[in-house]
Amino acid sequence: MSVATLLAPNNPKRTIRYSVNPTAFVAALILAPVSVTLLTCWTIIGLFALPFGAIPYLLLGTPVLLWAVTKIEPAFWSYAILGFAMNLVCCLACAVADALNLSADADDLAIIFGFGLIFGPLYAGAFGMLYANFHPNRRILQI
Amino acid sequence: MLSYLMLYFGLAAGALAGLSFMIFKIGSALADCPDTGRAAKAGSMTIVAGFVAIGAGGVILIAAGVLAVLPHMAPAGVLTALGLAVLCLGLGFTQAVATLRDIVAQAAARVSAATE
Repeated sequence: MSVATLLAPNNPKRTIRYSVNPTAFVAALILAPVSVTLLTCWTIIGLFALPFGAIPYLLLGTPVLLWAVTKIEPAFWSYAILGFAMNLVCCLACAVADALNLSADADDLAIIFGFGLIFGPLYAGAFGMLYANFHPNRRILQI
Repeated sequence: MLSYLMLYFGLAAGALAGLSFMIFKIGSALADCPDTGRAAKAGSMTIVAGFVAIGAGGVILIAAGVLAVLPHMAPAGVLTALGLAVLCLGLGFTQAVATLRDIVAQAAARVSAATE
């Protein structure tokens, strides 16, 4: 199969992968929560969201976003939905762990991920927007 | 604490070295082709250089972050840091291989365009 037929838009075997820029990734990963905090610091909750949310964002967000930049075209809304879904899964997992008395910290974590339902999508969406602007020449890889 | 740090850096550096070696192996396996071999060789060397630098930076950053946040949970901290580091190195490896395949596919497209 030639490259042209493989990359044709109607080919069901086609797997799309976007080129990744590591510098843009790291810059967007760090600047996204900082810029969201700067924009929401007047709500006070936004100011306190950074120390609580930075560790879950970096621990869970880094691998998920590293996977997402190859598969999902960077934009605010698609990445915000991804961040919301990730947060919802973690929030439900903590709620289940709390209900089953699996861990003494589960209720605290459930509260953190509960606020994360607001700030997770904001951080991830800001990441998508910043990454789209930082990447100098994004294109679909021929693989 | 020092022994945990050494364990972490030993295992993470081992994973980094192993994955870099595998990119080299894939590059040399693709280098057999007479048309696109040079592109595969040069591409794999470039990608390995970037992968080692970015991977080492990530490994050190994860150590700094996780071990600073969980200093009194030494085994859990090391396991968290190691898991995150290996996960991110693996994701970086799949991107490196995708880029390598893209380089070879572009070289093949150029060759077939030149011969047609």
